[in-house]
Amino acid sequence: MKRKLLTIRLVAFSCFSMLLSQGGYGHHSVAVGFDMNTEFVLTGTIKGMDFINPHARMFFEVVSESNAGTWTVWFSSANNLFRRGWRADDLPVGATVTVSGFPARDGSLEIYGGETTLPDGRVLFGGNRPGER
Amino acid sequence: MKGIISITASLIVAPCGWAQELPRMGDGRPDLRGIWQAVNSAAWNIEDHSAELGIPAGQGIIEETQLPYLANAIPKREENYRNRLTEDPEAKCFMVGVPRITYMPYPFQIMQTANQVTILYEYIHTFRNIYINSEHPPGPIQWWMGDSRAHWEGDTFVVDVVHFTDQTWFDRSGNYHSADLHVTERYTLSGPDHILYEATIEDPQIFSRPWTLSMPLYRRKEENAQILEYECYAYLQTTSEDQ
Amino acid sequence: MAQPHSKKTVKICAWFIAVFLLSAKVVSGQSNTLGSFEDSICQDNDHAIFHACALEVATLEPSIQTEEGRPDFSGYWRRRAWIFEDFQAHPVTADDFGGTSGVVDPPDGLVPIQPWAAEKSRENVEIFMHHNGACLLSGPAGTMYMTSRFQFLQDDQHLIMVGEQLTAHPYRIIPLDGRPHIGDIAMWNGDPRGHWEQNTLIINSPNQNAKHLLDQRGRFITNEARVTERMSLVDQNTIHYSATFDDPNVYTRPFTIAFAFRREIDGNPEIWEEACYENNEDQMRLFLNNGYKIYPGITSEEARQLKTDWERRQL
Repeated sequence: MKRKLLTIRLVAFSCFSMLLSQGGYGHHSVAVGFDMNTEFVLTGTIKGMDFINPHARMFFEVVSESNAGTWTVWFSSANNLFRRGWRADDLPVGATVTVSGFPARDGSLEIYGGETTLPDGRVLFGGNRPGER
Repeated sequence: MKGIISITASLIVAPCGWAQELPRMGDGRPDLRGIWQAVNSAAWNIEDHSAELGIPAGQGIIEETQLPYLANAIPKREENYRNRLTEDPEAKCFMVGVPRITYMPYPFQIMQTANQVTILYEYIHTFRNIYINSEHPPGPIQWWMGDSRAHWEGDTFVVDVVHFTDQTWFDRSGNYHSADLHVTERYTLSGPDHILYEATIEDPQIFSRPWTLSMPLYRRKEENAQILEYECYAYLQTTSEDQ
Repeated sequence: MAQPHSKKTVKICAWFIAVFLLSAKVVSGQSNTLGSFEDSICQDNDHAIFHACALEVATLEPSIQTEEGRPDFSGYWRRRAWIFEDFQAHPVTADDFGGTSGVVDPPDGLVPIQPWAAEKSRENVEIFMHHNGACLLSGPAGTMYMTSRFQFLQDDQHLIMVGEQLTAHPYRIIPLDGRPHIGDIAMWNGDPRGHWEQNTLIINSPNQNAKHLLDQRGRFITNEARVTERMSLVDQNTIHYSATFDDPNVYTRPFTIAFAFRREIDGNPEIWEEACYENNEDQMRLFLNNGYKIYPGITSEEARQLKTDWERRQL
């Protein structure tokens, strides 16, 4: 039963990522600011973190050829992240993270973040889940 | 010191013949419910201040003659004062923090149960949930209005507030604090229509010692008294859009 | 707009997600942000079915009463509807969580909107950002279905609501003592007054300034709209909520939406401060850079003029 539940959860997480991967963050429709047809996966070094409401933000330096620069990642509210187990010091300056997300429509180096791999290997979801909107 | 003030407040009621029954809740606690408002000029400046155009003179609401700033914290206070018309969080229509929200020139409504007091402020629909006999969540957390946890000491409602940002001021003149701010509020119903409000400020990054402000809060007695809306930033946003 | 996934993929995923949500529990002792609920005697995933079921049980003795013998709505609640996306039935897509129609009257589940207003709604979607994106309030009923976490506190004089989740820390103070409405003062959330009809709380909120959209399909009301809400307890963990919008400037007849609130049984459902405007400048820039404006609302005069203009264009 436990393994079945785990399988269901894993598939559900994949589905969440896939279905939510292109937006639907409810109240103010992230689609108006971010391109939901494109998904980036960026790896970089953290330069700073705003663990705040209404959206937590992380700033990180990406060095890959195609997407080099200082990127801003938008997450769900700090309150939601806190309730989900994130802490302000989970993303320390200098650590490496990988984030999947959708780029800003206006071409600025910003993405709306989803699955985030933290420096300690944990993968946490940074966006808004359906029950949160 | 704080205890003495509260005890004094309760003693004043009896000898002066104001021995009116305090309204009480079913659990015996003083009933703080209702619509309240501060009446003073602390919103402009919590220290003694002379009048200026548009600003009434005011006697300080602090116990000290002057706020006990650390020497290295004074330049920022002066810079705040110079830039107050643009840098004051109130000028930006931001939430104004604790205790400043209490003496803003807008009314607020207190709702009370055995486990919680919720204060709903007219100023940009700010509200605070004050949980009774419970623990602060672990920090670091930065909330504009902090996190409030309370207990009763006799008939005084004592609120412990931490987890602030460093973005709010104590008044429009630029008195300020760090994110390490720790506020202890005391609400004492001193008669059916008055609350003695006290707030002790501790912030060792900015001040050399704790300091306390106090004032009466007055019950709004109009029959039709109610909290309306002051949607500060809505007016700001639509004005700038028109331009 | 995003391309939707294939219907089959969506259905398979929806099943897994449904099972997951039903079995979802706290991860490593932290609060479950998706919500934890007891079962209800009325299922809440189909709003019309829920509404019909709730009406049947509404005449029974309320399961939780205040000292005055009234239903007691106190506690932590989550709204169980995503009709802020679209009042009408809409599928799961990349953008929407979807759901059945929130419109329970008329029974066909369609919003009875006048043709000129349907066109204006479509324009609204193209031109205006959602008001929550600018941290503006959602109106008397909008607050109930746009905000997702609530605490209700109730005594004999007031029903107080405080909310959290992307709607700029709203609250509602609803007097229950029969006091008259205020005069000529317009407010985002109107001037609510509650009164009891047996076990149902009826809330009327005139004086709303119509500066909010009703849903993300651009639907709207004018300042002359009459918004009437009803709340009753289906069981101790379920609230039956409905709102009737009566605005002859925009709709061909009054219509009613309904959905469930479920009591949050998670360990720590406290409503926390969620600042919005204080940290919203960069988010606003994204909207404004893409050409969106803040919705200015619409008066009854403007609505009547737009209707006249539209009718002229049809000739």
